[in-house]
Amino acid sequence: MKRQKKSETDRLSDLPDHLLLHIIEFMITKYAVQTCVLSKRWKNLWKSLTNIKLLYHFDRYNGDILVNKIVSHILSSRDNFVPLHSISYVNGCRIWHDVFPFKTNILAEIMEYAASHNVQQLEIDTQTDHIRNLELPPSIFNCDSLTSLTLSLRDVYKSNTKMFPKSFNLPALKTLKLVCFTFFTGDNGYAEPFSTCNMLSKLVIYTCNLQDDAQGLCISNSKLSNLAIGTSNSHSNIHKLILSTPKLTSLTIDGIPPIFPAPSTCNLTLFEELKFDCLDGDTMGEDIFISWLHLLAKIKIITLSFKILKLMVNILKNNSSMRAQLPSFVKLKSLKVEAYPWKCDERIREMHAHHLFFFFFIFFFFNVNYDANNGASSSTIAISSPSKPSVQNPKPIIKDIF
Amino acid sequence: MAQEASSSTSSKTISLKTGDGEIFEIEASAAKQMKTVQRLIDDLGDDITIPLHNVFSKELPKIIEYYKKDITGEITKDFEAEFVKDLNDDEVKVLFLAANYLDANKLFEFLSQNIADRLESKSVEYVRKYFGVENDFTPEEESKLREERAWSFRGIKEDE
Repeated sequence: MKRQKKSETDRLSDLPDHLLLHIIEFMITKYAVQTCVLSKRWKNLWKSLTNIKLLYHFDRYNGDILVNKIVSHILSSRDNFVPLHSISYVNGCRIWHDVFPFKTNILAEIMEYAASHNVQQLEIDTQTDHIRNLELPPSIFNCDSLTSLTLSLRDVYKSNTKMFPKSFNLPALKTLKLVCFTFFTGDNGYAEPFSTCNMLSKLVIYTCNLQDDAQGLCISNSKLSNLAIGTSNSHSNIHKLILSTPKLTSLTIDGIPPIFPAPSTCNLTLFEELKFDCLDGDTMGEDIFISWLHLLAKIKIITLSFKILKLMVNILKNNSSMRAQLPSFVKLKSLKVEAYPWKCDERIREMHAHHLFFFFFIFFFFNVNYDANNGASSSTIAISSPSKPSVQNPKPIIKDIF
Repeated sequence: MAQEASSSTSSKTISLKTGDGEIFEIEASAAKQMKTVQRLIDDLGDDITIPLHNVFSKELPKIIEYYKKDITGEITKDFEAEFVKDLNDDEVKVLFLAANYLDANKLFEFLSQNIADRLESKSVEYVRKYFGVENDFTPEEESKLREERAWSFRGIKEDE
């Protein structure tokens, strides 16, 4: 029915401005700006965007000089009376620092703009080797409006980190992700950076360091429920982790297998989930391994990457005294092993339900065939325990396997 | 098909009548997610067939399919990708307008993102047609604007 079709085409234009704006909010801002030439009505519509998304992939990145211009232009043209909800600057390109050696203040500019415009969510994720003397403006660490902050400022070639400020005031912050930072040592000899974040519930620390004189990292926070910590290289100097987080429910270790022993969790009454998302690295210190094994035995919900599972099995295979002292996994309710097809070169064979308390059995009993070429994100084998924990002693069975 | 009458709304179904006269059934809990429908139910009662003048038989089943998944909590990225995979740009537009009319927030947000993704690297002419926009700039005005923002016009795909 022609008449109906015609009115359908026109109807998007009948929508009020704020709904049209709603669509372009989801675009990368560079493209949203293009709408200024659609018609006079659209000329200034993009200036009311409340979310600024700056995203660069290989095929779109033209060097920082152009990026600076674009970002500056967007920030200065937008309507200052429209509240700004979020800014996201994600540069996924590998930047050749000797090809683009120039000063750039764009990150500081973005951070200052975010702070002065009461942004709620800020994400900056970029390589930073090519930026000389990157100064982080204090305003971004003293911002009443921020609820979510991601700062991933990666020096890929030089492995430098930025100093995380000794004191800061982010009273509304609920989610914090930090990559490549160094933490100051406090008076008690530990780095204890997050005790003042009263609303913090999710914290991710990746490839971070301590000052040389620190005895360890202490995460002390009254509301924190989710913690993820890890490093991509073995040069990290976090050798001890203390958790003073009464509301913690979940701990994730990612990157290489942990280089610090398992923290004590006896005061963490809500703690029930431990995830090992380790996809890199081939070794783990023996003492460190034993401490994590004992922690795993107390956990309700475990997720292991196939890589770490393999590593753990190999360590146990070669160590008979360790096998003789294995703890019983009496609390275990659910166990997941995640095999990423492109990382895994072995078939995982199916596991029989009654062996599930002993995670290292998975290596021999899984029989899940998956198509390694289908490009799916991951195959997950989830096993849940029966409601009653078994009191079966694992030791004789382990002996048979090995 | 009439469900057993029960005091809770969770097992009840609501009848919806499209602008072109067809009738579809949805669960009462799914109808709750579409605020316009819920308002009509509140006004007219849940035993009456609810008339939806601006939604038609082509798109309503798809919307019902989405909310069927939503009430069981099964909406995943994979489901959403599959949901729009075979739809062309115009079909998505029709769904978007229907979701707006029905005040179906979750679907509306998802389709906004999908339309944004589809339009992102299309030409200005294509986007004008899509939104039904008349170009009221003079050629000089338009080329001046394009020049000022030349950096935003790089990297545009050729229209299919």
